[in-house]
Amino acid sequence: MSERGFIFTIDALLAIAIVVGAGFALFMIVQKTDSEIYSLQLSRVKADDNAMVGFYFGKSTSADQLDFFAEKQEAYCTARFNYVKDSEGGHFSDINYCEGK
Amino acid sequence: MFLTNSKGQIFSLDLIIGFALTLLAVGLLFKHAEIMNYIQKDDTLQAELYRVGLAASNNLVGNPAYDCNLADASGLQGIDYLPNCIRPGLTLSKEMLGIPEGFNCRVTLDYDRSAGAFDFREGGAAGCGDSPPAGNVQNIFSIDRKVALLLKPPQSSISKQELEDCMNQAPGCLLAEGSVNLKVWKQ
Repeated sequence: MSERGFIFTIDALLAIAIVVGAGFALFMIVQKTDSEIYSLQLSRVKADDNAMVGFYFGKSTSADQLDFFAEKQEAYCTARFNYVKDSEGGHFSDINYCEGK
Repeated sequence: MFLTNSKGQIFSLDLIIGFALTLLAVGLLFKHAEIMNYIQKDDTLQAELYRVGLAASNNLVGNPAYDCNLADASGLQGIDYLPNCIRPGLTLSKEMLGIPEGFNCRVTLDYDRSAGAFDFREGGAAGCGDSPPAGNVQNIFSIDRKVALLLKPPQSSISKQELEDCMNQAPGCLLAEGSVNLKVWKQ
């Protein structure tokens, strides 16, 4: 307590106000609004849809989609000829056989 | 009894200015709180609409009840379901789309109709055949999802060969590229 009876000096009060104000401003700037998050999510949805439909129409050849195709082939061969994966998890020889390659 | 200063005044100018500033600050605080409260309520409503709408659109393109059934060469045995591929003859229902009570929806298809007809039923009041309200478009969630439509009679599957024809861009592909628009709003 100062000799005039004040607990805080004006300097201390100003410093506290600046720290609180700067923290609040940073919080408001850094945080993403809901609309930004929605926009990002919808971009992802649109990209996934394009990839999936592009795959059906033979417009894409990315590794992920080839993996998906391999899974479909495996599912087809497994259902058609009751193939079982070998112990090492390999299944390409079975698929090749199933496909007559 | 009022305390007076050496000049005989009850309040100093500093005290009056301080009091006015305090009143102003409290008023601004209340106004800000009211605005924030309104924004928060509006955000909650929008977030609920967004969640319901996005989940319903995901259920529309990724639900075994609506997805094309990939069948083996005989066309009888189903192997898997194809996401983003809509089967013919489906009847939409709010329940299957996961749309809760108190929400309305409308689904429309957009595709090249010269490629063939696609059998599709909105499902009436229990489905997504509601008419969107005119005017207040701010509270309608709308999303377009790209899909492939199977141009075959209802209840048909797509065989592996038919899928591969489309993937190889061979003539006579039985899938049509299109988009499905889903609108969801609160009653």
